[in-house]
Amino acid sequence: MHGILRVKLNEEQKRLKLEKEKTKIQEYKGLIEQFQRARQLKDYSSEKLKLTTELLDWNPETYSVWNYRREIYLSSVFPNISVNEKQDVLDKELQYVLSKMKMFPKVYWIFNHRRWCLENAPYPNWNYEMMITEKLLSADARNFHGWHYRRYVVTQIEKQGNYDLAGKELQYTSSAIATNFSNFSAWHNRTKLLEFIIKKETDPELRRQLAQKILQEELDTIHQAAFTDPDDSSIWIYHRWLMGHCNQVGAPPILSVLSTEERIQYIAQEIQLLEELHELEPENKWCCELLIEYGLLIRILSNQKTTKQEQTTWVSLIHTLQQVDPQRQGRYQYLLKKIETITNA
Amino acid sequence: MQDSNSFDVILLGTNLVNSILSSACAWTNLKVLHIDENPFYGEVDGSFGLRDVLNVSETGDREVENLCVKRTGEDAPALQDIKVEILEKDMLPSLKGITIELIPKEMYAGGSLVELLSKTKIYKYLLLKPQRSFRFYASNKEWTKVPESRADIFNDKTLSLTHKRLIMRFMKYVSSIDDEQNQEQLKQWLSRPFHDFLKENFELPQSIQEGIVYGLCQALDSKISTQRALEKIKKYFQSFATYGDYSYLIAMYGTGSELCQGFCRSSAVMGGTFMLAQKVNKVEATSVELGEGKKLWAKHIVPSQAIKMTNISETSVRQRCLLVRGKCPGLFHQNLFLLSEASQLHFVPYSLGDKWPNSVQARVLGVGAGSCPEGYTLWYLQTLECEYSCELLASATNKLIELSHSEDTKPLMYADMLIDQRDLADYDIAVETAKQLYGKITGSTDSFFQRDTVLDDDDE
Repeated sequence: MHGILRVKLNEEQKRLKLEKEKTKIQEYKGLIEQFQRARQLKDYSSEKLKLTTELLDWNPETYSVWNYRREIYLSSVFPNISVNEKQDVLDKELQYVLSKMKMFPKVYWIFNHRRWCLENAPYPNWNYEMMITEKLLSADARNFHGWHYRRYVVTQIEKQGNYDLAGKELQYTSSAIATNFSNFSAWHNRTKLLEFIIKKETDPELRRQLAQKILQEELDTIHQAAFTDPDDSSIWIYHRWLMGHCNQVGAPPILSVLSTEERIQYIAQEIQLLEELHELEPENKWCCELLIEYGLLIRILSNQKTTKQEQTTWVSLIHTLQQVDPQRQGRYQYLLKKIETITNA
Repeated sequence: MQDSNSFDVILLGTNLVNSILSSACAWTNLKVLHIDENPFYGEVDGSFGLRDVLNVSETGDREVENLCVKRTGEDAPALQDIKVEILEKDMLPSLKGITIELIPKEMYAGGSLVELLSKTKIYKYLLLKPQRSFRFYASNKEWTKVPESRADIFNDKTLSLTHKRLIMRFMKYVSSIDDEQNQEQLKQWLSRPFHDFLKENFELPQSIQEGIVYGLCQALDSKISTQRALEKIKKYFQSFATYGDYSYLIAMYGTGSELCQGFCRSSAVMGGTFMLAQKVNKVEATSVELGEGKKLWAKHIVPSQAIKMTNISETSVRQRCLLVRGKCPGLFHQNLFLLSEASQLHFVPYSLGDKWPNSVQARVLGVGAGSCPEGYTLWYLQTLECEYSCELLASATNKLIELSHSEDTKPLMYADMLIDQRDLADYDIAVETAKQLYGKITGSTDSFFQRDTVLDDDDE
């Protein structure tokens, strides 16, 4: 666990600790065996709920126990109660899940169970769920479980109210980035939201203008981040998405509205900036690699031959890369081959 | 053989160095006696209630009492010339609940004192609050944010891309100054002015330089040395984000006083004996004579100021503490609870006037710091003492009133005192000093606050 000091134990203390742990292990094994037997016998009686609670208090990552718990609810609890009683039962269940979530904010199965509760509840309270995501993300702005859950809750709220929260959510990612731009989840969320916002605009000319405005604004922000901390990977990954240089099926909406010439213009603009940064930080691997990648991209898009000078520059960049990032030799060898292939095509 | 007049260590004065030392010795099971001539803890690190200085005479007028702070065992009083000036007699509130620190200081969140408080659990005796550097008044006469983190640089729209890179390069350098190759290059610069070091090695925009020197380093003038400045900057960045978006911690009800009391309490719990308001007649190598003539013996006698620091200038610092009516929200970072707690503001040289080459360092405490009642704030202003220091402080006060964003901001009274610059050393140095002295007494610093702990899973 993070932040807990390791204390050195002497021999006597180690022995005592092992003794204590042995008894605990026996106990736990006993409970697991009980659970496995009960499930095998398809015993879904509501008394078995206590057993699952005990096990989950010990270890909330045993997803089979969560499954069994849900089976119990579905088989023997829900069929015999009214709608309001069902809401009460699930409210209590949600409280229990929340208490587990506070201690273990990064366990997939806890979030799954919470979603199941909300989807089975007659009157789910999505605003409350939104507040939970706020708490999760203020405790740890980089918890991708928190971000994923937030997107889920936002979608539910939008469905219910038949409106979209994209603008507000975009602002939320902006404030997360302003606090600390090394936040993959915030940037990722941004990609999803920007795509939606652009797609929403139905008029083609307005959509074009919107996409261009957004693209330039995003690039300006990335420039600020890149010059502040060029070693941070999340900003370059976002930059590649903005340039359309990532593994995506079809062109991203942000670029699909642009003509090839316009796209080439943007890439050229970015290459210029990368050259400026490269002068200040000649050993930064992202600069070196993207100068090559974007250079090649322009050649492919414009269907023009690479110049001798470009080739020389790129090859020398490869050499720099191999020096400053020796762990990825193979990757840069591959890039060298790519340069040769495209040059000779 | 138990001799009730004989001890292992007698400490004179409950200032912070000696309070830490007292506690460390008691933890090692040494027989400790701790004497203070003042009727309160802390000596110059302590605080006094405003009630003790202002009294109501028979005619209903406020009268100023003489405040005496002694260094235990020495003849001359430690703090002289405490002048109190009442500006608005009728607006003074009930003086209950107003604590004035003799020398207001803060702890670095990533420094050795906070680490020690955590390790010894003495933090449990304290109520800690954050303090942040808020703004500095730059030479371009604008209130500017002090650059505290990468996020600040990223979000600053007035900086060009290249400047951002250069500033971050400097910040990265500071975090690696302990590396061998940097240490080598630094050797020639350490005692030279930081100003020159920056000019030769780093290209930083003027505003950032000012923010660093007068904001982060809290320099009183432009002559701060490279060594001192880099130490402070490094500690500042190390401390920022340790517990939250702030670098400093203070304790409610007077940081210095509470720290001294905390360590003394820990010492007493481990067997140390304390005597407050105890007159001391004579101090000799291994004995102390009390006011009534009784003599006490000890292997080690620790005077009030055992280690005199020599590398700090002799110039005094004029400190003005103002009691101000008004919540002054404009002087604090806005926080979730909207409680004004503790803030720092800085004035760079010449920003207040062309004839004034010294800076002014200001600390503002609100009701959240426990030092004054709701609706009031305490302002502490410090500047090097010289012929125009009063004018300079008055000008700074007016600028702060402007910034405070409340119409009813009004200074009601102030207390001026002259402080020895050596007493301004930060609290982490007190820990190092105490450790050194402990080493001299016990022979080694290894057992400084070390007690064997048994790991128990059920411990909190």
